[in-house]
Amino acid sequence: MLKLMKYEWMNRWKIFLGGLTVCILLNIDIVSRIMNKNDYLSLYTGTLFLVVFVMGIVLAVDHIIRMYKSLFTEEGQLLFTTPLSGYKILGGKIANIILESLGIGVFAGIFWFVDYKVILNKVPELEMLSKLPPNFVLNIMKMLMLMLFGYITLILMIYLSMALAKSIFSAIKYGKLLSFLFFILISKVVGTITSWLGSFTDSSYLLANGIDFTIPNTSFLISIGMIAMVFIVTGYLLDRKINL
Amino acid sequence: MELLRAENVTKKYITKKALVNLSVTIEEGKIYGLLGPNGCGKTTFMKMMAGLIQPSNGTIEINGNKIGTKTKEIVSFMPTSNYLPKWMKIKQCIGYFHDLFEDFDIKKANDMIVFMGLKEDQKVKSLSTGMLGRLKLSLALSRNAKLFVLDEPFNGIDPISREKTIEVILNACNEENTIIISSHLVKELERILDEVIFMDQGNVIVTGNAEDIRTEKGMSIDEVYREVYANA
Repeated sequence: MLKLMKYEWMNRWKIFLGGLTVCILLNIDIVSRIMNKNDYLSLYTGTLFLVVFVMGIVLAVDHIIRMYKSLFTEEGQLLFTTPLSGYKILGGKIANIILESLGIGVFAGIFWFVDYKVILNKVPELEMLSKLPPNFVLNIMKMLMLMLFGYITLILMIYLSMALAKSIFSAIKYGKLLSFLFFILISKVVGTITSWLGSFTDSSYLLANGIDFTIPNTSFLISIGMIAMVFIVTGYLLDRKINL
Repeated sequence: MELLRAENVTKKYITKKALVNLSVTIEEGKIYGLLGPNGCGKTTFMKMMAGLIQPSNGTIEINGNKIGTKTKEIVSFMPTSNYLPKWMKIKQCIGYFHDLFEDFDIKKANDMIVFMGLKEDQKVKSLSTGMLGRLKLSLALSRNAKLFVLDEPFNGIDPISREKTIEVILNACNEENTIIISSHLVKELERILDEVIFMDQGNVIVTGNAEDIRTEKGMSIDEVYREVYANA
């Protein structure tokens, strides 16, 4: 599985390096404009957010295309003749997505922290970290992890519908359309199960108390359960039912 | 010794059946020619052996195992299409095979690449059809697999390189492995074939020892092919 991940990355590290370089340059530019109290600050900040947003969309599309290429193009014939099970193939792809997302999160965190420290030297009144409630940072981290789990669930649901199009629905005339409809259905089912399970937990997602809030650990269990369920079904289809 | 057994294999697609109750046995240590006109089900059957397509009905067993990760460890498949990622260089393709197939012999691959007139630094997307065919064959035959499944290995390869290709295939064959080749170029292929399987409309119509068929019919396999598929 690690070897598969290596080859997925060999094709992409230059793109990531390019994206990182653009972000660093834009970040340096924006911080220097903040320091110099530039008139067009909001315009530049807006541009930075737009660039990061577009990059995020491009990355998400790339995450989807990775499985599309493996299932709907000739390259998949190489991947699926290797003695790797469908679970390992899927696991390799998902592990890469998790690592990339975490890597981006870590970079974003480092950027933010460095920017904050630099700006604080110039504008000390912006100091806010010490004013945050003790639990706040921990729960922010928890919330980010839940967002990552939500993203992985979404990607897995898309992979599942692609796997369906190339397995159970492959001999049906409107198989691709059916698998898309199935994607909508899966989303509905996953959403319903998540809220149904959520109703058994002792608290809502956010227990607000000023700016403090708590994310119950059961939310993690529900998310992991959903990921495991969709992963097992998709892995099974890739392992036993695929028609390339 | 029996290596592959297919029993009543059927594959249904949206509008047609690619394979219809196909049953065949493949033995170890032989070169098989899988022959037939376009659309007779050769590629579908080969992809099934490689684990890329699942039968709608029936079973295929290789070395006593149903198609899956166990059989993929011993089956080396070369498809007609370009299944190699276009961004890769030849040396990266070799690395990929070395990393993902335990039976891949990197020295054999490097020797074969040189013999086939290819260079390690060439990118897959820059290769001509013939060069790509030679690369795919080199990679597939560099595995110490028990079953080699070669789908149209001479596609796009010029007559001179075809001789090299045949030589490479012959060198890969030994008593412990089996090679299945599909091709329309029966005349050039028939001298290396031990067994032939003629397919039509998703089923086996003639199968047997190539020499026996030649003796029995008093004609070459190429002539038998032309006779069998005269109306196809």
